[in-house]
Amino acid sequence: MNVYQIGMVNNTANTSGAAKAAENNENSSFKDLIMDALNNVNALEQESAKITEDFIAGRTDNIHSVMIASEKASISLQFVMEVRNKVIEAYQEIMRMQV
Amino acid sequence: MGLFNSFNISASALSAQRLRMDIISQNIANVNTTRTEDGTPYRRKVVLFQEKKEAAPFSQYLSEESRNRYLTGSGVRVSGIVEDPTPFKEVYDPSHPDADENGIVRMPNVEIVTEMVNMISATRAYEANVTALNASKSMAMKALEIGR
Repeated sequence: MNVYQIGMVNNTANTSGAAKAAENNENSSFKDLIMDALNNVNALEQESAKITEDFIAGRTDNIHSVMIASEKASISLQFVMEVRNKVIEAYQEIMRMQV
Repeated sequence: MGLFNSFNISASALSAQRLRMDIISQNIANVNTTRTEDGTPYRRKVVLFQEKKEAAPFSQYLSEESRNRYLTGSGVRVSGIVEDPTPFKEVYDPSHPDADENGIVRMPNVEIVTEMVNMISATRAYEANVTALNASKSMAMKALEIGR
């Protein structure tokens, strides 16, 4: 059995927690954020590949779990592509700036 | 992960309906089985479903409740497969090897019409869950179109 610590119970008790969260946000750079997202997508892709392989090898017979895993992977990949497009758009906007 | 919560809920329902379908197939397959391992005719089996709660620790319940947020639950789970206690059908067939001295054979309590109706219901429930899944997928895809 896992024992968890009791989290923030109400808003009055969470001032120190909020301060800590803000500090964390300052420390984590944009790069870390992107890397986190990429790692998540990579994990989903790998899970999808593993489930597909299991299905082909006959270790599982749940067709829907294969389909759902690949859908999850494809949606998160598209999300990352969307974010990338936004970033590049912003970068190009800045590069076009007159100096 | 919040985005895929509804996916996981629908996935659990799809698995549950598939198990229900398995049990219905087993009932139909054994509609004439007069002998099982314990010597009695086959008894119809029924699947029991239960709401699946997240395995959230107490502290999470406490903090979610105190902020007026609620846990959505995480789909459905099978709590058990039970046998239908209705009496066996009795058929007069003296030529049957399992007939008693009066020529009565006890047949399984499987009603093929009921099983067919349950089968349609399981298929439709599966379809409904696939539809729900597609709806949540199209919501996610629409969200990606924001600002395009």
